[in-house]
Amino acid sequence: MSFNESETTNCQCLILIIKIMKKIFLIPFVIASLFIMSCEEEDHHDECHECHIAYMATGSKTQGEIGEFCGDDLADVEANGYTLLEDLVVGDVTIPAGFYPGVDIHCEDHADHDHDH
Amino acid sequence: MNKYQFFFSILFFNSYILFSQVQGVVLNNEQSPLDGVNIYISEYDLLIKTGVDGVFLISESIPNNSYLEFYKKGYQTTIIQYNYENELKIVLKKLHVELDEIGIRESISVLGSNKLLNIEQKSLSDNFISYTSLVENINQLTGVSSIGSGLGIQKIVIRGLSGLRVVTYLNGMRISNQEWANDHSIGFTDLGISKVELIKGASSLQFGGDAVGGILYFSDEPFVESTIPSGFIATKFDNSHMLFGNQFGVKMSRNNFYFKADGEYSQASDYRLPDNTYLFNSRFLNKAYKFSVAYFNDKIQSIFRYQHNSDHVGIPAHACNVDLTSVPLESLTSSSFDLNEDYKMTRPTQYINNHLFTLKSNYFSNQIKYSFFVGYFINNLQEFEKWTIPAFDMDLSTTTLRFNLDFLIKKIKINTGLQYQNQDNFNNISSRLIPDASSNDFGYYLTMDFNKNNFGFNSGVRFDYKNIHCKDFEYNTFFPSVNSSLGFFYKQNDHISRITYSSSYRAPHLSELFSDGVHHGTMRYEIGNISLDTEKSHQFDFKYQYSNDHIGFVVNPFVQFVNDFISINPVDSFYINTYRIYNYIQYDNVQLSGLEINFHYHPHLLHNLHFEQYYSFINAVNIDDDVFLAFTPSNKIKTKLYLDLENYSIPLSLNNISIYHLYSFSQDNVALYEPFSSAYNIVNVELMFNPFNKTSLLIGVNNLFNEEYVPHLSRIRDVAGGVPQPGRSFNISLKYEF
Repeated sequence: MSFNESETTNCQCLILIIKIMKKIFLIPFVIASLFIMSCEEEDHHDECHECHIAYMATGSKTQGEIGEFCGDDLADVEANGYTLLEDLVVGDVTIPAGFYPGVDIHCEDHADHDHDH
Repeated sequence: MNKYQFFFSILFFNSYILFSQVQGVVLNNEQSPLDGVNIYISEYDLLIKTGVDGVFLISESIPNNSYLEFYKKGYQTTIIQYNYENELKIVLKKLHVELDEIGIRESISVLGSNKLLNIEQKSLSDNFISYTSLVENINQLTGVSSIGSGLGIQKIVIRGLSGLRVVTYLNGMRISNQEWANDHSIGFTDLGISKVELIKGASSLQFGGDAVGGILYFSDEPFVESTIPSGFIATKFDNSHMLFGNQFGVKMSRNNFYFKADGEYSQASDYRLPDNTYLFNSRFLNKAYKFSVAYFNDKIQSIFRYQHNSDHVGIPAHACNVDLTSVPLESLTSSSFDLNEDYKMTRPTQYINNHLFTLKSNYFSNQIKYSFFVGYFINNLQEFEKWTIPAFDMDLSTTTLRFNLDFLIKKIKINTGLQYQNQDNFNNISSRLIPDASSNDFGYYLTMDFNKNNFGFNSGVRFDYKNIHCKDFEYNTFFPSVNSSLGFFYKQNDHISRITYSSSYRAPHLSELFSDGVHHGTMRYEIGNISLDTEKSHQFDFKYQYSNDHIGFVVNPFVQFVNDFISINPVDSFYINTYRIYNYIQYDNVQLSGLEINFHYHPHLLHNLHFEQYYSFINAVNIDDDVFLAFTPSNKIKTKLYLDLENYSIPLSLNNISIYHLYSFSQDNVALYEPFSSAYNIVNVELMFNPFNKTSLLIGVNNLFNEEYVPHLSRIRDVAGGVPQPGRSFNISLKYEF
């Protein structure tokens, strides 16, 4: 049972129980109903995020920016990786062209000490 | 009776029989009636109050020897055993001062008699509006610490032991919340919870055969007699996390039905460090609701409870594929707070969904109490490092059946029962840290309590037969174990002494046996060990207490020997050059010893001033290698000053002022490769007002002097040289009861 399925099933179960309960206790039912909205689920399918290749060179990691990915493209690059068509130069490090698997692709946000995210 | 009422009658095995009631009265020393006295009937989990004439009504069907607890502020709490032949006339002694915070007074406890066992209790009734979180509140007890990072992730440590060694129960159900890892929090909030009971060590045989470190038992608020809804709404704000929290609760009863419902919604952003930067991704969101329905008649009492808790928790101090010990703190923090962005969940994040169903029925016959309990707890834990693909998505379901008998043979109280517990661990995705596995545990326990005049003893034994089965590893192993406890107490005038021995045996957990993968929450690659054997513990605990009208004093030395202690240790290699590899191993002999002291003082000239101090000293050694054990909490002195101003006329009806001070010693007794931690002082201040009828307003300051400190048990102590805890923060809470 996935997270979404379990959430949905339990919400349905809760609604059923509350329907029964309201026959006995109307007021608590009304209040409890307000919390049904907690069944709403977070959805990241429309989100866009900047991604980078985490490239190991001479014992340290270098981040090579590969642009912004949205929706299905984001899911695809995180799952299946990214093919870098040309060498990418970051400071003194050159990230060679080639295929980088999903484990090397990072799209999570990071703290920005200047906070302009 | 309509079909729904019929359904509930079947569910609770009951028929409609009205209570026959008997009348009692509560008086003070001068024989004047006392109104507003709380009377807690433990067998029914029901709270009633005396009226203006001091009179109360209870069901005459309450079984003989049931405990009734009478309490009212300013009066000595009194516990009686109900006997239908005796007149219910209770006299509460007016207290010169109150000494109830350090476990001196007797109280009704689910875990047993606190005369016979080392049980501590803490009220959590108004925890939501106080300056502490649930864990921080319990943390104020002696010998208790916490692991965490800000308010988002917190869990309890008892006498240096935590995780799988500290067993948590909520209303009779074991909360298995993937508690093996430090980044997996306690799994519920203080919503609707009345109190917590704590046993340090494994003396609670009914609940915790494998509780090597101790057991925490949380109980919901009792039901009330009220045909019109009563309850509360509360809101709080804390500016360290920019936390907004709201709770409500409602209770009522009709005929023989009793009902409670509670809800909570809290959201917090990244917490602010003492240098006014913000620890990125320490944000969290909590949604919870619960309800309970009870039906009581003269023979059977049944309570059904449901609870849902949903947490979205950011995992702070994350960096992409780099050694976190060497990253600069600036790379993990933001320099300002952005209202639009900093409440949104980012990555890495945990999504935790817990559902708890319990049904408990008691049946009384011929002075025997039969209890049947069935509970189902399902925990879903997802950890996302990427946006779209969980690194970890697991369901852990726990089913418990328990049948229990309570009865008296002459002066000996017998408690015996059978318990069956099934756990199933199921992965929803192919990427997994722990494989699909199941365990079945059959337990039988028997405890005996004897208490007469100034002497008493408690003894008990528990047999467990646990099977762990994992198809992936072709693992099918049985772990039989025998746990026992024996304790004596002796009271002479104001002096009470008690000595307790307890043994416990803990079978290895699935995570310790089968882990093999990256654990993103801890940034480790963890490797289990299928040859692990049962962990065995023997603990001796001595407690001496003295109390008179002005002073309470408790000294509690202990020593615990643990054989085949299971530990997770780092090795000098990395997985994909990023995640340090950790192996599960067993130490032959580990010894934990320590001393806890409680001191409570009221100056004779200022009875409204309460001064409490708690000392915790602990030493944990791996005897084989003669090295200290990792993650041992630092020694601590906790001090609380409480000035009760209820009887004075102060603007805004200032009710009390509370000042809490924590001094944590430096921790120099560290394991190999474990960094030292420095001493620190923390001061919190809280003022409580009652500006309007039934309204409480709390204003507080945490970390008043903006101390920059990193607790020895901080989850992020090794990151960037140690990420500090929140700096000075202001909080304000408001509660209205109706």
